[in-house]
Amino acid sequence: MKGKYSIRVGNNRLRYEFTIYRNITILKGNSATGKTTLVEMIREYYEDRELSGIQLESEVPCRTLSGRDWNVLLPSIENSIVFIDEDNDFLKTVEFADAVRESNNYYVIVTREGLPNLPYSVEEIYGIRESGKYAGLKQVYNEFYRIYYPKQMDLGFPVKRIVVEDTNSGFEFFSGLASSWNAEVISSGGKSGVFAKLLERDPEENCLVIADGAALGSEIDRIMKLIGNSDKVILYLPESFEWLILRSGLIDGKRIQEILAKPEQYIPSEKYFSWERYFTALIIEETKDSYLRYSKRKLNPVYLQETERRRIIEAMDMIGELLKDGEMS
Amino acid sequence: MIQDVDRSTVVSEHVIDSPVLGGITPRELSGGVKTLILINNVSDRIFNASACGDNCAKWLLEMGKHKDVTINLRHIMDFGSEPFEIHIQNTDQIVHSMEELVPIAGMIVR
Repeated sequence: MKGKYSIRVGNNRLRYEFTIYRNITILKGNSATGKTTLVEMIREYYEDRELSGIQLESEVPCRTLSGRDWNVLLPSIENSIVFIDEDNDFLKTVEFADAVRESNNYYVIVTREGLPNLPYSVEEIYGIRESGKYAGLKQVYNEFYRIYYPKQMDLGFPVKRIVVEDTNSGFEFFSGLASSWNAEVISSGGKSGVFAKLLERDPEENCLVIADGAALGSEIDRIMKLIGNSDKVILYLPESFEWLILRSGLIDGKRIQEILAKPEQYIPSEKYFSWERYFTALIIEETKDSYLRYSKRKLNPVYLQETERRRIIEAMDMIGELLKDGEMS
Repeated sequence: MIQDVDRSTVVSEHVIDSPVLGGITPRELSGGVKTLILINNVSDRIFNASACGDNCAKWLLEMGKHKDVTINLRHIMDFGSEPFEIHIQNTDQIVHSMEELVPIAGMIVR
């Protein structure tokens, strides 16, 4: 399944309106904000339709999944949005992750626990908040809000340490970039290593973390809590390193920029577990017959040439300003 | 706890008045409040407090002022900015603030 889906569901007292953009969406936040009530409404509507007293508007079917027989039921659900409440132990299992990977459904999962087997985006982690009442109807209107969002950063300081989640091409790029700087570039060896690398840092040292936002969802909570209110750490979370190269415009073609503007319209969930994997496949395909031929395992040195690296740095917006030559000494 | 977390009023033993849902039974209380009630009343069991949001943390600390409370956490709960005393059984360490808790808990849970 691909595309974004706007959903409206409610009864005469309570109404939810939200949009789902990717295959995996996480709901968390304070108790009593209506997460379980939402899942329960979806379940009741599926069971009893209009007789439930619930109205649901969605382009695709909405289902719920729970209990011991989840793996029996799930194969029969296709091209649907599947809502799963917390307290389902299967959420953390490899078996469930495998089922999600091969499925053409989207999933909305209620959990405060990080789910490391699932590559979900930091942008698709939401809380629910009451945004008002419909005049005269006494109906409470709930909406989703993004829990982790970019904040204004003071970039006017030299970075002494750069932690890069990538181990291969991305790490080689940033290492090559920093070869003339007085900054140490280290790889965290994957998303689960970012927290430990941040623990090792000197708290007085300015540190930049570059990680793939498309799949860092399970790590972001402990990372944000470790950083706390420190102004010594900057998190830069592009979708992925490959997304950055695509965004730079190095590879010609209007089509690529159209894809980047609305990725959800192009990425089938049953083929790509996360957007990060799609962007990797896209760049490999688009560059295979050119001097920009891309490999995830080993960086093509052409990306470190003056013109190419400048374009990639410029694609990093404010962080690119920080990384420009001469500003990191 | 019910009034604070769920903004609901207990009318009688089996009826609760919710400002959003109307009249509900204890079954429709939030998962967080139900878990808090269990933690407070069933002391010979250990409950998964990751069913509780951060707005339940102060009630866990409040219970801890009167008795030792053991909970299972599968995420890093935010216990707020005031000093507290929490014993992390995995590492046998006592912490007094989120600054002390996060580096230890973050190596155990996400």
